[in-house]
Amino acid sequence: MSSSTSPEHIRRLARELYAAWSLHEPERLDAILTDDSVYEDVATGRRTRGKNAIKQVLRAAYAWAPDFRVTMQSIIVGEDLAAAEWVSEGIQTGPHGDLPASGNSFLLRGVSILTFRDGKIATVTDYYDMATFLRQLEAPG
Amino acid sequence: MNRWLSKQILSPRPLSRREVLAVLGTAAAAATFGWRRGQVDLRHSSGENQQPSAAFAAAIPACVVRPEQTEGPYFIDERLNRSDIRSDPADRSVKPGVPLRLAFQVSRIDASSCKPLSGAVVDIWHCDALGAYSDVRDINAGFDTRGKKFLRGYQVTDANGMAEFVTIYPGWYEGRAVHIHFKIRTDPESHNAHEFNSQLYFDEAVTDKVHKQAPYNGKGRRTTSNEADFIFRRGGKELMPTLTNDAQGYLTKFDVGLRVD
Repeated sequence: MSSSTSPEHIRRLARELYAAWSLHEPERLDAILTDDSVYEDVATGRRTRGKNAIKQVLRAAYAWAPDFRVTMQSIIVGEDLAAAEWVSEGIQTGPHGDLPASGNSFLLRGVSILTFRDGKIATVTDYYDMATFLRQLEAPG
Repeated sequence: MNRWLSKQILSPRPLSRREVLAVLGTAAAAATFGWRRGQVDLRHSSGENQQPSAAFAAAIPACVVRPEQTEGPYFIDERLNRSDIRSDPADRSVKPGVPLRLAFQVSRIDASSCKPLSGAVVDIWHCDALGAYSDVRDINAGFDTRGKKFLRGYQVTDANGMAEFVTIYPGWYEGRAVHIHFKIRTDPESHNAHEFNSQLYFDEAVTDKVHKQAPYNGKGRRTTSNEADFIFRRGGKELMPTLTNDAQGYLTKFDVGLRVD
């Protein structure tokens, strides 16, 4: 077994994760995710396994919100573990799941629980309030 | 509710010719649709061509509908009614930077007319010369300014729809083009009132010039150009006020037409 990931490295990996999201450069994940990493969106129950599949999750987000952006606001670091607080934002100009394009903007606060292995991100588990998200996207014009 | 305007612009229903003109509101619209002055005269002049006078006097609203953009994570409803937003109210320290006198002229566009919108609350907020917002803790960007309230404030539009601010030219931070946020609310106390959020951007050459000076130059060159910013790409070109340079810094007036059918 490898030794645990240093707190400085964990912070760097987390910053890089949100930079990849915000700069719309999913290929930046290649360097920071384990090959078998798992992304879980708890609110929708969706689990995505594997680096390439996770890159598709980002691309799918840009398809319905071309200005999608995530800002990390705080991070708490533990042993091969971190909790990152973030705000995501964008305007939903394309259909998202069952939701037709609304033109509404969203501003969504959430937390990712990150785990680390071999100096990379092994799992990303996102928690956010789906009711808030839906209320924003379904708001009348 | 909040997002009424972007929904108007992006609604799948085809826009009428009048709506297209109101939405585009530029020379491009005239070229595309053969618009002539007097034919569908919602606009009196384009914001791009306007030369702001010494004070922003005798202005006629240009009635240009602007693209809505995201509010972003840094809006705080501080309710700071002030025109000069450069200082921190707590310790009166003033944020250094190149002065920018920024006036908004807000108009109300309905089916048949365009008039100045008085009584609207216009908020602006932006980062300082080194890229930090006030009253925010941002571990990622490396600042904690909680309790400070510099570079935030609102003004209520007057009878001409004007709201004027004195601020500084913004600095930059990772991942974003240089920008100023603004929010226009017809009634901040009401849930049914119109709310319009967007952002202002700047000509790259002007930013280059400003950012070469102290204190901006302490941070080095910005890493994100307008075109590299995904938020800018969604309508940012229609959100660029034309700046006039004078001895005191920069001066500009920006027209925002709100559709309130």
